[in-house]
Amino acid sequence: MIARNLDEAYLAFDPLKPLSGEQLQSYYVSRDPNPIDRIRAILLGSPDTPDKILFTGHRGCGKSTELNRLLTDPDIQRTFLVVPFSLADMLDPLDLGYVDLLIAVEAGLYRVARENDVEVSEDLARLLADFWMPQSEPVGFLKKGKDSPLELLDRWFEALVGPYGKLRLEAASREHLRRALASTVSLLITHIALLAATVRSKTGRSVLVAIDDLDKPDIATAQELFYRHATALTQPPCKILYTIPIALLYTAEFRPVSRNFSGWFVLPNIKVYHRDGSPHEAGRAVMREMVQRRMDLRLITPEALDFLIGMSGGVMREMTTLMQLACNEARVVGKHQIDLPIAQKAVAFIRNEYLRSLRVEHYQQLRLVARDKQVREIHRIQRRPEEEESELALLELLHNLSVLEYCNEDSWWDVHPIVATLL
Amino acid sequence: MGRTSDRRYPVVETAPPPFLPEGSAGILAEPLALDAEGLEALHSLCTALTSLRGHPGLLLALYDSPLLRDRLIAETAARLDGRLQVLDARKAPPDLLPWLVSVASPETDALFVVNLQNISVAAQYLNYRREILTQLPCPVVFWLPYDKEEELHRLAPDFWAFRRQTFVFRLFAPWVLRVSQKVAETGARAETPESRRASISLYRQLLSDLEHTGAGKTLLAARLRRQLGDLLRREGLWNESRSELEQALAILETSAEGDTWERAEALHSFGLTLYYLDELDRAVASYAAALELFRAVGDRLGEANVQKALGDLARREDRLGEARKHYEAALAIYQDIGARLGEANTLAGLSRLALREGREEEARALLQQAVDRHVAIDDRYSVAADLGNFGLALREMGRQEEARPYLLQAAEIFAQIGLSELAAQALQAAGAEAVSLHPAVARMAPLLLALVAVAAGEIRGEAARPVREALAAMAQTQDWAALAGALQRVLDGEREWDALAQGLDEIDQQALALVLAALQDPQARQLLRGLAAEAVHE
Repeated sequence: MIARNLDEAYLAFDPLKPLSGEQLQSYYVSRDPNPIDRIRAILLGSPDTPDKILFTGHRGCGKSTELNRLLTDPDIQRTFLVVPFSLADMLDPLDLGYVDLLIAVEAGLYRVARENDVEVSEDLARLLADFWMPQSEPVGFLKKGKDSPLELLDRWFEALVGPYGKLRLEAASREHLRRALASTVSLLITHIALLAATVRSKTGRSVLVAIDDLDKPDIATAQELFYRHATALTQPPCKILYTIPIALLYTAEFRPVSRNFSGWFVLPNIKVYHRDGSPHEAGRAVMREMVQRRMDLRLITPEALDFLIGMSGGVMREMTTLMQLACNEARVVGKHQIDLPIAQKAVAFIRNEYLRSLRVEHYQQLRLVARDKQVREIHRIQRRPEEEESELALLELLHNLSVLEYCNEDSWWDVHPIVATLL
Repeated sequence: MGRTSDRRYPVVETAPPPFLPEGSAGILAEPLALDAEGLEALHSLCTALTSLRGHPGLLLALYDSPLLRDRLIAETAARLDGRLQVLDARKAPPDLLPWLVSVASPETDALFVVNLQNISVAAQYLNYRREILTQLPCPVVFWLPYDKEEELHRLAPDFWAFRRQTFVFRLFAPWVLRVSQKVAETGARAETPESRRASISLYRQLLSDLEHTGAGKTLLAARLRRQLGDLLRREGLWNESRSELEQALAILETSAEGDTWERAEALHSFGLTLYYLDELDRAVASYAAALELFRAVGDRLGEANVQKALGDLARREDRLGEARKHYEAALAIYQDIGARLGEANTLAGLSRLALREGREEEARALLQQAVDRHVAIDDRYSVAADLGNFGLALREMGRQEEARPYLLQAAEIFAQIGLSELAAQALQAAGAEAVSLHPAVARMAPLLLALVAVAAGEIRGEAARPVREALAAMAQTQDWAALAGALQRVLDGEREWDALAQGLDEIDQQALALVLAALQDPQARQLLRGLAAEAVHE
């Protein structure tokens, strides 16, 4: 439903929710180029090859919406048993290791298979149960009893990897499992392979695991996972789509490590300016359509809309945030339409937030980016001490959207338009 | 009726604790003054909350003083036609959002989260778990200190990106001054350790706010520091008390608004603190300076107070004649100006002096006079103190048996007015076994507290349902059926002990006594609130 007044518009621009379900149908605006189309082609082109794909983009650029679109695509659904999960619901995000990740993949795949009534053979169930619940195992979560192996496993994985699971809540259990399983990672991978083979044989579908929140750890944790344990992450014999923090791409270590993966894709921000600062009309049209799908354009003057589009930097959520801020401020002063002064006020709110968050060393880096339209490669692991402060500042700027990348055939970096007004 | 060892009780969530100390509730009624920007932000916040009713949404409110925050919350509640739920995040686990979902009431129109602890850890969980916000039935406002914004933005950028708006509220000097003035004039409650500690926090916050608004060296600040010094002394924090009083005196010495009376009060207070720090010579000097200033401004009450303090000090140093001289001088002034509290206190001091001098009959007669006067002004704390101190004086003279009845009487009164720590001390001095609350009753305290609120008519209608349901559940158990019946009758209006206590065992009677006391006496209610907080904490 298209908002007909500012009260409705305020709710229609919701930074809290990526598009899904009905909203995906009515609010989604296609973008070109869209790496999700290429990912889709890779997935459908060879369902049985165990590709590991990295997917990234700036915060708020629409990654989750695009993933929702991909995973609910009818062809994808037909071809794959999709195992979407959030690590934060299964593991402790503040203490994340690659063994935990593999356990979560195994548990997630097992659970989704059971939820989809995939028949897991007695032999496989026994094998898994014997691995996880040997009588002599000191972890002692569950003991064998009269229950069937499948019932035991259901409870085992719930107790181990559920929202209230030991792996998520108990540091001691995590440490124990990591020590115990570090030398038997291949067995975890075998389990995943056997489960994937079962899915394939019983349903004719391959397995696609999508882990949506690996872009949220701090850069050090992400590097530990992807750089030091890339081999373990690429071994499970099924397709896995990992989201990663975009800052990882700018580190010097990324390129050699990325070769372990089948491909990496960046969801670009929408270009609302050309590199020389002139308006990018095609990109602006996408942003305008994004607004138009949510509200009657008579609720905002054309110049106010243009101004907000320019200030959004082409980041979808920034546009959403600015629009709802403008809606609220218009209502506060009793206006029924967003005009330029109101739009400027909305921008001022965001500018003040940046103003309060930026430090001196940030400004130095921002001036360099504004001048060069580039960012330097960051040596996160082996950097020289004198570079430490400036590189950390740059990473933080990439992390908090102060610096944005505009890529495809003509790629450059720039300072977020709102932040640029502070320079 | 037999008791099983592992009885479980229906648990009723108590209302969140007041975010301001009880004695400062007046501040919440004080008109709010903000600068134009702050007023606009408040209007904007209320508009957003109204629109988001029934929808999830994340809002951030930044403040630079908890007092301002609490006043703003009260103001928002008054402006919004809806139900706000204020959640104290000190009780929450580091992974805050699942907890938030679990405690959010479905009827709530907005959730306010205050006192977020350890932001560096909490932020990382917020960052990962932000999608949980979509499960809330209403918008949530995180109230954060102004200086935590950068940390949250940096450590939880994904969570941050979910916000709809950030509202910034800065202290407005006229409001801070008005609130400080009010507290300086009326003082803060300090009868119980809890209220004293809360008041100490309040004074510290006000002084910090005054510093921020550039009024940290004013006469008003000096007065607040002096009052804070007095509270700290009563709390036994003598060095901290000294520090505050020294700062108050320093301000008064350099302030252009020199105030002789305030300086006299500060010197008097300083002397009292030095007395506890065993710096008796300096205390005498301070008293002497105070006495001179009180006389200069013609404040006879102040003069009498100093004479009384000098009497206490001389008595402590066994200069009994000198002590009597000061006490008598104080007494004459108190009687002349009709200061009955001072008169009663001095009579109590004289009674102990007489005891030391071996004039037993006079000592007991003076004690009785002191008690009578304290009773006349309804000062039960001082009655207990008179009796207890007399008992302690006897005990110091090696007359334990004679001391015992005085100490037991003191303990009883302290217990009646909810001062359990002092009651326990008096009992210990009397050599008695402290009467302890049965653990089962202590664990029930949250339910009992909620029941008192219902019985007092403070919680009504649907909100009272959990209490009634809890009683109904208790009535189904063998162990608690009798107590449930009695408590139900309390809800129906019965207050007579004899009528209610029939058929109750000792544990039930303790619970019933707590409820009846809390219904009649605010201090007993405070004690029950403390027990409830402990039970919830456990």
